[in-house]
Amino acid sequence: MIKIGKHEIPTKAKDMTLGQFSKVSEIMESQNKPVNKILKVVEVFSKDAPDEMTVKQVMDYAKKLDRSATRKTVAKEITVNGRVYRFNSDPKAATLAAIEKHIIESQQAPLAITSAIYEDVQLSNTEHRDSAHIKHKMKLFAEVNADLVLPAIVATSEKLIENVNALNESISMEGVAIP
Amino acid sequence: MQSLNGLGFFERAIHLVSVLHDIPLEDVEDMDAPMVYKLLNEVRHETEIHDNNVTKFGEYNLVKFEQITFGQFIDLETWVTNSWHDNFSKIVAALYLKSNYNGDEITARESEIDEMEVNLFYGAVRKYLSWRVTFYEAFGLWESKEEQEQIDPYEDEPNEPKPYQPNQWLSLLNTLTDNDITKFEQVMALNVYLVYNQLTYLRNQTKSDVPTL
Repeated sequence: MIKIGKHEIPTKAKDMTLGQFSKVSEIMESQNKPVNKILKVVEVFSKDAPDEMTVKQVMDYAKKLDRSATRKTVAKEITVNGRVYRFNSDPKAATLAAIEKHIIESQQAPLAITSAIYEDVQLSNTEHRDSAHIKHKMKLFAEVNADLVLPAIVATSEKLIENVNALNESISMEGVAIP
Repeated sequence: MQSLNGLGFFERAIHLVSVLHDIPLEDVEDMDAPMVYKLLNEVRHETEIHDNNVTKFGEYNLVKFEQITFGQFIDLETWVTNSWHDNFSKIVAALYLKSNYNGDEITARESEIDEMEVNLFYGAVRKYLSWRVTFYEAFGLWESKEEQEQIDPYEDEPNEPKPYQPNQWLSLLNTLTDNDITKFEQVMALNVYLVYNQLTYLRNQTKSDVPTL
């Protein structure tokens, strides 16, 4: 944590919710300039804090911001609002498609991946992949501790990248142009 | 073919494999991703073979694109820009003609084509899509580099306004016939290159009076 005025701003994933972590990731991956990125990240946790930050605090926060997980193993199950969600370690084509779709739509990859890859044990495959259901989970999971699900996000991201590369080699994307 | 509007990479792959291999969508969805690529690769291979071979089926021949008429071009462009997937059979029916084509058999051919393997004709449609880009480039019809951007081939309803609404073709026909409707058929029977040469000439003569090409 870093203190800016009366505000306590988290610097580590373990002190962030998944919703906050997703927004922080989106900002850090964006094309913003470095100082702007830090101010926007701080704004995720407190609307007023960026206005109170000194140059030294911005530099200090940039150094301390650490998005890696302290947890080393994938959580096989997580419980949210009394319901149990199980990690799908072998996502099929449709699950990868759902992840891709929700990453594109929300621009919040960690939240989209978690919501597609942790499946309600009481539901069927078709229900897991239902777009409205995944969106509902994105709201629910936004409050989960980021550190808990980070290993699952990393494992799934690697699988996703590997498959996108393979798919790129397979699929022809020639287009219909309009003058 | 099923509409593939707005789908991502993986979802497109799933739909393509389902349609081109005739496998139920749910079965493809439950496949491991590598199996989907394997099946996609098989389709690509088949398409490449047919790209070179299918210039004739039954008594129908693939038209020479440089010989199509302005009327055929209007039909093709209307279907291509209004979702070439949904209009696939119509486009194929327009691309394959009998040697004694009389212009009134497209619906019959379309039904016949609907029952045939999509792979047989996919190459011809791709060739047409590629040719039309060259055609427009040749006439300098792209206003800017941005407009040359490729529209997603699986995008059925492009977000941008469609340039070839029926009234725009009508404007072109009116320009070419000096607003004489009795000459429309005559112009539509002309070679598309001839027509676009004339339109380019007219555009250069009196830019403001000629509708956008």
